[in-house]
Amino acid sequence: MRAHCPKNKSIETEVCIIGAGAAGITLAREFIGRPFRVSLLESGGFEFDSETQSLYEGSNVGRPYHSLDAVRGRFFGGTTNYWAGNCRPLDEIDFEPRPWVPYSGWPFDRAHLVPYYQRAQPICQLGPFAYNPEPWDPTGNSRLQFKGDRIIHRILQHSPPTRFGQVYKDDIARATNVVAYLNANVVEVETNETAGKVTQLRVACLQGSKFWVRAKVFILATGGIENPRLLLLSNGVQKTGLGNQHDLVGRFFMEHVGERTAVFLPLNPEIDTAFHEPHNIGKISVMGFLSLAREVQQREKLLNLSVSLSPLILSLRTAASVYGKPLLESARHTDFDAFTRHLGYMLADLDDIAVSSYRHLSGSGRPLRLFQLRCTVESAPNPHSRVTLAPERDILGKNRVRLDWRLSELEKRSLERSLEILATEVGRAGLGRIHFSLRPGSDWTSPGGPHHHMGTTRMSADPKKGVVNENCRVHGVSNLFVAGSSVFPTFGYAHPTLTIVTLAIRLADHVKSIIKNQSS
Amino acid sequence: MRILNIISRRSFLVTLGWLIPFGFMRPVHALAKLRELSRPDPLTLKLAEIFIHKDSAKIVGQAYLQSFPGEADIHFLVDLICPFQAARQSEIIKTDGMKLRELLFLQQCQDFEYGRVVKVQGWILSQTEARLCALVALL
Repeated sequence: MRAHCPKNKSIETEVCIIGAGAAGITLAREFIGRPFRVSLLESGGFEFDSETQSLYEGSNVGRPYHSLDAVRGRFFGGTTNYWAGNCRPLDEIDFEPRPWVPYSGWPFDRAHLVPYYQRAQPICQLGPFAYNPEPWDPTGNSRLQFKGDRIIHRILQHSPPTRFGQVYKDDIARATNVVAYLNANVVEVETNETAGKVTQLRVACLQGSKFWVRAKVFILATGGIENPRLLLLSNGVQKTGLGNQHDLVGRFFMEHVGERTAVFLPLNPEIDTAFHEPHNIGKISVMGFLSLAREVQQREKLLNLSVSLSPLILSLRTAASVYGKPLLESARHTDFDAFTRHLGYMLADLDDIAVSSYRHLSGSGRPLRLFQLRCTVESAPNPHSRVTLAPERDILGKNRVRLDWRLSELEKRSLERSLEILATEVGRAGLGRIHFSLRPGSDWTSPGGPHHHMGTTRMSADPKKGVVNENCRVHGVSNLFVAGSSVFPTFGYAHPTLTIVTLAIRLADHVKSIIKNQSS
Repeated sequence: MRILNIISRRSFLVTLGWLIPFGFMRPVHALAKLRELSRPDPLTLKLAEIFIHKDSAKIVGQAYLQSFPGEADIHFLVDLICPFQAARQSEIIKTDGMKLRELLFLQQCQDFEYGRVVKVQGWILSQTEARLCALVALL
């Protein structure tokens, strides 16, 4: 590990990885012990530093979003220093071209990634690669029991969460062929005169020194906003930015839409929902959630989404203030708490199972048992949702970013229709009733998102449709690769980290074969 | 004035005496009839009796009627809830509460299955349960 930048030196290596987050550290670890040298460049040190973090600052001109310097971690380990640890692979349908989702589809299917997903599991400190509910809940008794097959059960696994910078720091430090340079900010990717090959990186330190890195292979792994930023900043030869010959770099910015606008009132207040709450099976922490069957998504032309249950044991009015503004607004306008209580009693009168349970609640002042439904909707690829360079400069003199996050009507319709279908199935199965209310107009989502930045260097075999090819190599540049969620063309509802690690393993295999072929 | 000139005051009163039973009394008859009609019939009462928490059902029903004011009619609602022939309706009147609850629960589930749902204050409810509540609200 090198905490101090070399001064005016040029470093020679075979592979250079830019960024020491989940993708960068996974790549570096995959290269440990290989017969080639690896340089891992990290902008920050081992701890948070506000000056380094300020390099993330930028402006938002689209949908309301978080401050850009507050959504990523710019030090060793990257954003895994903060992540919650939720892991799940993408679904089959997430890889497929869907006629109702423009620009959808990956160059390969999910089955192709499964061996890499299996290798990613232990890296994220997870259990076996098993994401159907059966192995985790053989009896099925603690799941909501639906009629028919429109609603399906899924699970996610919880990583401890793995802090990549802490857990794998020693592996990197001990590796004889890997050198990590801290406080090293890549400010430009320099190319030959045709922009067809990267020759070196220009690296600057906040203390003022600078150095260059020459390598055979360069891998960009700096996140969904910084990856396109660095490509756009690298415009010495390709004036529109490196790899941007088709004006795609920075476009298709996507983020999950997370909403807490729905509530589930069970008919039976003693319903067993243990499967839907975080729980341990052996040493593995898992949690169940609901989704729509692929046939329903296809028939209704919907985006993929997940719905998890979160107990609301407080008075709903109080819970609303804790859990979210939409619910609070609902409570304010309709006296939600009182109405819901009346609804519960009324429904219990019509249901023999529930009637005795509700009877003892009646008049007791005890709160109803409710669940908040936490919905995560994928967002559709949208070329107008994008990251561009702003005229403002950071302390290294480089243009900051401007984020223009946009959603289409498809996300709103998908959420609304999916909740209607879920409400219908919940009622049909005699499980209870569902409340939801989206705010009218374009401001229907809560501000921000869960910090999942995707799509800005999207993958496609066709250079006119993607920035990188199926091997994550930048189209038109022979030795530049991109790792991380910026290559996701579509992504479903799953949290991206497991797929980021999976793709990094796959890319590492590919780079190993390139180096091997070059050597032989 | 002209009529009064033609017929005497006495004959006017005699005529009035004849007219009352056939004409002027008709509104009184209609009122009685209306009162009889608006009195809940046994089927309506049977359906409303299903609720132990009548106040709760009433509040939900009032909310439903705000959204669907065109259904604010007891007989119309009963026909919507139990669109059966008279003979079938009389069977329901004789059914015990438990059995009726089972029938209605089945109908609620079928409502969801066939998309016969309504949104009341953000809650997705079956038409049957919402209309039953509306019935209670109108009684």
